[in-house]
Amino acid sequence: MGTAASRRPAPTTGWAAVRAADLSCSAGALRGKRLLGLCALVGLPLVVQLALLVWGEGRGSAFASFATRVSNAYLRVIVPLSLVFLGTAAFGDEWEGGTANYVLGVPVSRTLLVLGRYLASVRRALLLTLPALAVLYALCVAPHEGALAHYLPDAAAVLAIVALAILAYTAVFLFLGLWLRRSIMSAFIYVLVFEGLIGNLPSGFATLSISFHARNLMWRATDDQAFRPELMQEMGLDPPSVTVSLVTLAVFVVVFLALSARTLRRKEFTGGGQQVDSAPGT
Amino acid sequence: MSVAPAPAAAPPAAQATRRSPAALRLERVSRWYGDVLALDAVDLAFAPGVTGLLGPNGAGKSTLIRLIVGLASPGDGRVLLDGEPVRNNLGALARIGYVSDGDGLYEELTARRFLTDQARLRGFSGPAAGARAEDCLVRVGLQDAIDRRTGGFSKGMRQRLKLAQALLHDPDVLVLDEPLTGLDPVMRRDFIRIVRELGDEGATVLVSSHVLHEVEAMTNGIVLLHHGQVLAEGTVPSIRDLLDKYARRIRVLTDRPRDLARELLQHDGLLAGLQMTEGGVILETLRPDRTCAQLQQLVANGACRVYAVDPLDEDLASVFAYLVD
Repeated sequence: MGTAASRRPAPTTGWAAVRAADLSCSAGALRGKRLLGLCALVGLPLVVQLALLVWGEGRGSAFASFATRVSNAYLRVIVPLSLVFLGTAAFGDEWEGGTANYVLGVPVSRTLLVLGRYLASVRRALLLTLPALAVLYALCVAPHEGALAHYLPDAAAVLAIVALAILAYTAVFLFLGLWLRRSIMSAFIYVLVFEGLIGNLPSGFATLSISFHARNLMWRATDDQAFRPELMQEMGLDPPSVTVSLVTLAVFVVVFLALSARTLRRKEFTGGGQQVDSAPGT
Repeated sequence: MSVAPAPAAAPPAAQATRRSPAALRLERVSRWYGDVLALDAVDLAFAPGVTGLLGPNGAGKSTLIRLIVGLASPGDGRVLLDGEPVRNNLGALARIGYVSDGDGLYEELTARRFLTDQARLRGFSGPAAGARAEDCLVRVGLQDAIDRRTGGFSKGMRQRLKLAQALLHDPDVLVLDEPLTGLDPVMRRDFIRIVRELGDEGATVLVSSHVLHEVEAMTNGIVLLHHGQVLAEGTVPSIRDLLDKYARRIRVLTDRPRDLARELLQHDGLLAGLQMTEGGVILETLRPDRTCAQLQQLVANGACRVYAVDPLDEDLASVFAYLVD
């Protein structure tokens, strides 16, 4: 019989650790009422578009109607709102459910734990959102003969940019879920107040908004007016370049994941439903 | 109150090599929660074997345990495993297993999935993680519930599952916070057996409880906590020996309790008090040896018949009551 130390595997590192953290993300995050609610939220524009088709009012344009739905419904409201729940649940559920000891007690680097949970949330968001967008594209474009194939490259660009927005939003809300006790409320405030209000003021604040950069990228990629950053142009400001928007979204991801890893390192678990940040000296 | 620390029971020599001896030490550890001092400059050292951590609710047991397993940081002082801080130390965390006092489990997952996830996080690769999870579930007697969702588990099954999770990686240090809560007598017996086996294998096992006889069934080595301070540590008899300033109670079953009481009361300083009971008398004495000798003398003289002599203060409950009072 070997010693316990010889039987015990070394602490997992690298991709294996990220994957283990990803797989350990509570399976309950996308079940039950929460899943139904998210599906209803993401599927709402599809129902609207279907109704318009039935009543004969959705055939007037092809790609433009798709772009309008993506810009006004998904990027401004649905994607951030669904990620409020998915992102904050990546870790927040552990403290509320009293399972944080199974996260903080494992010999895995906090950075890799954050990356694993981040990937799990991103995957869930992509699985929820991208199929809905594909169906929306089909509903908007298919009635026009030949349009389905014609606009496919533009549609692919839109889907890719929505995926980028999902990457950025997930990082922000994962951090909020770790950092704050009332993380969902705080995430709502971020979406509704910051993104919804400040982000749409005729000022440079818009450039701090994820949805602004996502729409800017779509405008650059498709040249569709639905994504045009009108307010900035009306103020005589040049909309950011593709590079600036891409870098900004990447900065959102890197900064908020780094903050999340730092927060997790300082995080304590002092019993069911309680969470505190460590405060040496207190 | 402080006592010389007594090492926990040493593991049998034949099995001592199975685990790396883990030296767990707390140096002047304090922890505040707001204005409440949960732990106050605690110095402790745990050797391989089973040690019981005893104290009433609010004594600081769970806080101490969370510091030991790295879930929280000490405000002052250090928690060290073989000289290295535990908190956020992956090498130390890899050697520690923990059964929490909370009921939190991933309710949507099966027992197999939960343990497999945990095994992966502890470094087992895919197939090995599954096999290890199954082994541990069998060890704690959950083989019939492997593919059931944990949300439907009884309290006892949840405790077993938490123990299986703590055993996944063959820890050198195993920390159990109120592990017997909610277990039926059979499960309780099995749980105690497993804990003793781990201690015998050379693991450093720390068991907290406020139910004293449960700890007594697992170990003779104890630490008593009260109001965030170590009240005493060592073996039960060694701590009991510290209590000479308190009167010890001896129950004597006799055919003539009044005569016995009258005889003993004639000796100055022998009894601190007495209480008549049905069929006998409970003596309170600061000199138990002299009292017993006097009892023998009375029986030899035919003053009374004595059917039984029971010391009432040798159990942990009494020790604890004395120290806390």
